[in-house]
Amino acid sequence: MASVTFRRAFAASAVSERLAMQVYSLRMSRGWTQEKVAEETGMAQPRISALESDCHNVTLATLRRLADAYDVALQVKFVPFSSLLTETVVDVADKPVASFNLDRSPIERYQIWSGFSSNQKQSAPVHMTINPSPSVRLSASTPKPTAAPKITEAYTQYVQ
Amino acid sequence: MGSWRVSKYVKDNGRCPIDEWLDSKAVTENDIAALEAKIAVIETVEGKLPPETVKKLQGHDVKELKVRGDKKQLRPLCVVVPERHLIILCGAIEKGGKLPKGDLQRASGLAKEIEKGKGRVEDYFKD
Repeated sequence: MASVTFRRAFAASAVSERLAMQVYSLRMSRGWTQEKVAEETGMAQPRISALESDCHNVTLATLRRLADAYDVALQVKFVPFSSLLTETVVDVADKPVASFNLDRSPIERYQIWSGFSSNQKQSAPVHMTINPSPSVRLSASTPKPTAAPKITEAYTQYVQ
Repeated sequence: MGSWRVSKYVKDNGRCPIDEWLDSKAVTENDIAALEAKIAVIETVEGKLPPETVKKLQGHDVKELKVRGDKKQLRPLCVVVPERHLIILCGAIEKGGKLPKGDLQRASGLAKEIEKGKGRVEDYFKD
C-alpha cells in the first residue's frame, strides 16, 4: 500500500469487486432473475449480468436504480485507505441487505440516538412502542430531548 | 459456513508458477493490485460466487479467474476443491478473447500434479 499506483488500483478494484458481489448477492437473496431485476430497474438484462461481474464504470445513477429496486439505502463516502482495506479483507462481501420492510435497524438506531442525545445522557432513553407495520408510535416516559420533536416528526414520516 | 479460501500451488521443487507470473514483465503493479483486490474480496464471500467470477473453461478441467487488469484481461487459471477452496495454478492473459494454449496446457498439467498429491498449497495471503 506504500505505492500510490498500487493503492489506487487496489482501491478501485476492491470497490468494483465488492459492488459486483453485492449486486449478485442482492439478487440471489431476493430469489430474483436477472430479467426481474431488469424489469424493476428499467435496465436491460445484459447490463444486469455485466454489473454482477464488473462494476468498474458504474454510475451513481445506476446504483440508485438498483437500490430503489431492492428498497435498500445506497451509501457512498470517502474513507482513509486503512478503512477500505479493513472492509475489503474483513467484512463479509455478500452479507444480506434487508429491504426497508424487513429492516428494524432504523428504529434501533433511533433508540440509540434518543438515549445518547444531548442533555439526555444521564436519563432513561425515550421508549418506543413498535407496531409491526406500518405505523410506529413513540411514547415518551421521560422528557423528550430538545431536538427530538423535529427529528421524531421526520422519522415518523420516514417510517410511514 | 465459512468464507472462501484462496491458495496458490507450489511445486515439489519449491517454484510457485503464479508468483513467477506475477514477477514477470507481462504483469504490472496495477495488475497485481487488481488481482489482490479480487482475491481479498473472494475471501470475504460466504455464499456462491457470481458465475462470471470463476468460470469453467469448456473442454478443460481448470477454471479461469476473471480479473480486469491494467488495459488487459488477466485470467489466472485455477481449480476449485470442496469447502470453498480455490487454488490458483498459474497466470494467463486473454488475447483476442482467447487464452494462450500453452497456459491452458500448463494449468492442466499442474492440476494433474495436485490430483496425484504432488506439491503443496499455500494461502495466497499468508497473513
